[in-house]
Amino acid sequence: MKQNKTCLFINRRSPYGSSRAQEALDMAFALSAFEHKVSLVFMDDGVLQILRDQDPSEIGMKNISPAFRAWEDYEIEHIYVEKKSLDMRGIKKSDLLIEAEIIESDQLGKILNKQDFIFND
Amino acid sequence: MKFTIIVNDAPYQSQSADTACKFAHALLDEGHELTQVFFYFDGVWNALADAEPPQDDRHVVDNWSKLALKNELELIVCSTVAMRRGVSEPLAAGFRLDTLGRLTEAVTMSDRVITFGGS
Amino acid sequence: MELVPTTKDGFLINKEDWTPEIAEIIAKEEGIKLTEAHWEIIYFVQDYYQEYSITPIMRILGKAIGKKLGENKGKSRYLYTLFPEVPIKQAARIAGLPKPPSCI
Repeated sequence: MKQNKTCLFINRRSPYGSSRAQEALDMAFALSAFEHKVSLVFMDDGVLQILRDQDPSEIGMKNISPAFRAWEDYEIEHIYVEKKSLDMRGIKKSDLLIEAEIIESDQLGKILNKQDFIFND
Repeated sequence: MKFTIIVNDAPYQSQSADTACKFAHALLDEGHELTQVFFYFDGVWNALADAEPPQDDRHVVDNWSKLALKNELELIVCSTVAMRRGVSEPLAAGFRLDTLGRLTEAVTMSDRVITFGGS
Repeated sequence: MELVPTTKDGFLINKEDWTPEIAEIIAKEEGIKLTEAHWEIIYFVQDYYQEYSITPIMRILGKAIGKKLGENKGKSRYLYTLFPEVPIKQAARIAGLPKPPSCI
């Protein structure tokens, strides 16, 4: 059996509507730190998670976004962002706080096919 | 085949916990192995010891405990997620708090990781 | 320690309260005499938290320290000689950072 699994985290929720974005990231980092091959996809409202200059202090929440910049330390394999989700929200690649691979919606199937384990936030 | 099951919804919030438990029984009946059941997000509420649903409703927490005791299974509740919500030991029979490190081990040892809930 | 508010585990509630003097007091409670080598790690985890808002798990911390301060300093044997209990927890506490999530 293959020990180091390919894991894909599909992030489609806004960062502060629930704790799910934070907790999904915790799980992704934990799996990656223990040698699994983790990639992240941001789509739908999930693209808001990696928007620059977040400041949720007014609503009493912790800014979770800086942690995404630690993705290289955690050896995350790929960070994909769905182009359609960015376009629909008027977000440009330069608005994102990390260098991500922008993908077309029809590339997603191919990415999903490579995974041993898929997790939705 | 070896399975890991992750439960992401609270009991009664949705049918996910019921379905997950039934799925666990079914895969064991078919002769597969269940490495671990891991409770995450609001799934940690499945572990509360004092749940007392009306008698004519199903008892989700008890169903988990029975599954665990019968099959000597580990029901692992993510400790950080649980602490954030105030879910603490003593938990219902068969459940215990542990870290995400335990899930990563289970993923290593499993052919399939199936998640329930979270929509 | 009663100088500034702390959690029940002795972590500072407001990281703005942190001063090197407070670090000395916490270190004493942990049974650690702070040397240059300790300060290097303490400032490292503070900078890391400032940058990423997280205290990384041990493995990742070691790797990050290794990259910045030299490979030997990232080894867990080295970190355990400085902070013998649980390095990331003790270093975070002395650095005035929140208790690292135990979930890992």
